[in-house]
Amino acid sequence: MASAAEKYASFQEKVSRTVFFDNLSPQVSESVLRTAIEQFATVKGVKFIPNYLGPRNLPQCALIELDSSKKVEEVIAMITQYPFMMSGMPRPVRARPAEAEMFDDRPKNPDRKIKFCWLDPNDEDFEVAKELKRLTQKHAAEIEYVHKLQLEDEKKLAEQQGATLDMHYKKYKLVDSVLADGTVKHLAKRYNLPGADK
Amino acid sequence: MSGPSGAKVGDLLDFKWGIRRGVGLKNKDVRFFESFVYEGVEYFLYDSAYFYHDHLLETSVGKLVKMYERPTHEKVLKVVWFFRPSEVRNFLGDYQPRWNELFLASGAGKGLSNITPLESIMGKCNVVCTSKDKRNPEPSETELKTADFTFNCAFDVGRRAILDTFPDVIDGIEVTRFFNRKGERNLSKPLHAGTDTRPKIRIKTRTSPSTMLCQQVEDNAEVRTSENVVPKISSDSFPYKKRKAEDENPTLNPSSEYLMEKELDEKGAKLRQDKGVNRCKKITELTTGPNANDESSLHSFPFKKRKLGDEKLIINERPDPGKINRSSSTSQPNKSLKDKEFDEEVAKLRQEGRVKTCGKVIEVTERPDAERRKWFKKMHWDQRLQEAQEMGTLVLLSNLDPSYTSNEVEDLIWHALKKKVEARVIELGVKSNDYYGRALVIFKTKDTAQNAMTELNRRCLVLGDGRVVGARRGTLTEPNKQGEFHGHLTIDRIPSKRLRPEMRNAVSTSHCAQCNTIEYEMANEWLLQYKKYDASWEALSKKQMKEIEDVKSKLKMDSIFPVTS
Repeated sequence: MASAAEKYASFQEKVSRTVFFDNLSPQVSESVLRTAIEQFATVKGVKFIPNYLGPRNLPQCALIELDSSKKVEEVIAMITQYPFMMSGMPRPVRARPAEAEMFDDRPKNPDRKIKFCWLDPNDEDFEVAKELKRLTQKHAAEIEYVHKLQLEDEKKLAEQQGATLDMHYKKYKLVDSVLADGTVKHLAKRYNLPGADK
Repeated sequence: MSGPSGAKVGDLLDFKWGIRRGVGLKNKDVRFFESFVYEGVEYFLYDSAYFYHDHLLETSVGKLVKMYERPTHEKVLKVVWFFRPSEVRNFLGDYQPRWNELFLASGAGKGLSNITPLESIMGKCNVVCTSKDKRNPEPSETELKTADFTFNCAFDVGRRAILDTFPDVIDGIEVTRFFNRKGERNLSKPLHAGTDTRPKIRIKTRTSPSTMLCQQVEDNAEVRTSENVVPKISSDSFPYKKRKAEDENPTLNPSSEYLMEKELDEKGAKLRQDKGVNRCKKITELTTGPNANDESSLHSFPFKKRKLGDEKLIINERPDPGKINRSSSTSQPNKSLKDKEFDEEVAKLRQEGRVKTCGKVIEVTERPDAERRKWFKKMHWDQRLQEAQEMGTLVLLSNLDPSYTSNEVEDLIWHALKKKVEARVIELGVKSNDYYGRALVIFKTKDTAQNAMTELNRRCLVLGDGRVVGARRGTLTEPNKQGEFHGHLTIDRIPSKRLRPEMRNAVSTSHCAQCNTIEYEMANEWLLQYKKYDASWEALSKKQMKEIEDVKSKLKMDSIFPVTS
């Protein structure tokens, strides 16, 4: 039975070996993630972070445990250098080293003690405490709002890129079809231009 | 030797050749020199100087290894470059450069040296070599102090690696020339009395704002591209490290402005500047454009990797070590809140010392039946939370310390409310303000949940670092069943049934984007988007923290809790 300190230490070690990915598509499954990262390093564990409270269509996040912290650095360096796609393009995933707070089943720090106290309405600091509470709520609302904005912005970007892509595709299709069905050759003969490739 | 007279190619103001060295081997009309005077500053062979490039934020530092005049009276210099740490940051690895450290180019390849027109020189620079190489005379204390830059290592442009040992020859020049000079000659003293070693700025021509878009092209290293060097584009300060870029992208600008106005006050201004630096567009200049004058030396400037392609958004991945690191880590507030050691003794003493009691300070120890947790096999959290929400026993606690674990939260509720609960902390995932920790708590019955909420709302449960715990009914977000995800684009082409299995696999394989595809460019746009929002979150966090601090400072309870932040 490992003592609390040992458990904490080994947990911290595990954290240093873990990479945190975000901006994953909801279609990315564990096996996809695993095969993707196994191109670079041996994967010991994959865990998705559930989204209980955030906005509905927030991208997924996952924690991937590798076998050494050196590998973690390598993987992160690679992903930051080259945009890495998973299960779709062109939105890349992002990676950063994991932190202890990303694990919900973490062991507690044995050296840390929590203290608290209750404040009644007749305490002198009660008003201040109430104000703090209000502030918390206000901040939570602000955070939610920024999340919303972020998603909207992403949607806009995606739509814009989609439009660009469509346009490009149509152009290429047009060029291809013109080449393919002989229009080009015909026109080239007409205008006495060299140009139609055989 | 005076320069040629008359309005010819290569006619410069304030210019005079100095000591003559000889003529070229191949072409007898090429004359080599050992020094020259330009704009009142005298430059000698093997001096270091600042050079200006079109379209770059910072000037480049290089060593003059050759100076000569062509038969066409063009005056050119051959320069071996020093790299700034920002330019080679992708190859630094573990090496931590000092703030004014440079790297001497070596090896063979692009970026080692250039023939540049003389007009691109901007001023002298004092670069001292601090390497322990035997061939390098050790610099004195004063030399180090007065040096503008130092260099300790070389950077091989061919192998793209930092070298501790210097090769014998760099680009045909003996390496001893690059080391500190022995003897009397003081590099930084110009012959002309009264002239400052600090470079002078002369505004020769003013180009239109459109060409002043900054660029920090980065794929593997910084790119210096310019087909033409215009003598001097106007500069505000020298050497300018930060310049506000004009953002051309219309869609990004309004939304970013909007966001800034909404969320930030003065932080917005600082932020905009930051983003201006980091976010740039590069317009490739494959055509000569309006700057086609005599300076159109087709010797292009050193570029480590040239990106040919249309407009790209290039992102600066990491802030330069030399620049003030404004985007400080968000985990700072966290660190101060973690590892806090509450001293019970001190707390007790302080308690006795107070005049007005403020309620008992209770330490949270493990719940009496903490062991029982380990006995029962727990159901999946998703299910439990869902059920709890339906039954009305789910409560969301906010403003907890983010480093609390689920067990600690349960213990806390036990001590504070005398209730046994199941708790799950919401882990750090998506970007948000890391100061706030949250947890979902499942009570035994609906009534207990209700009571707990009213209690927490009526009174204030204050945690050690001045946090007041908030509680409200917990509502879970519906799972993302349809898989709405912005950013993955598809083209309606061949229906996937008809695709051969290999093709299908090819499409869905995870891969790194190649640079020459449209996918790469779009990916960069996304990366930019991420960066932009990172910055926004930073700013929001800062603002919120400040508000919190302001209110906390009014707390008189500091006497009880040894609050550190």
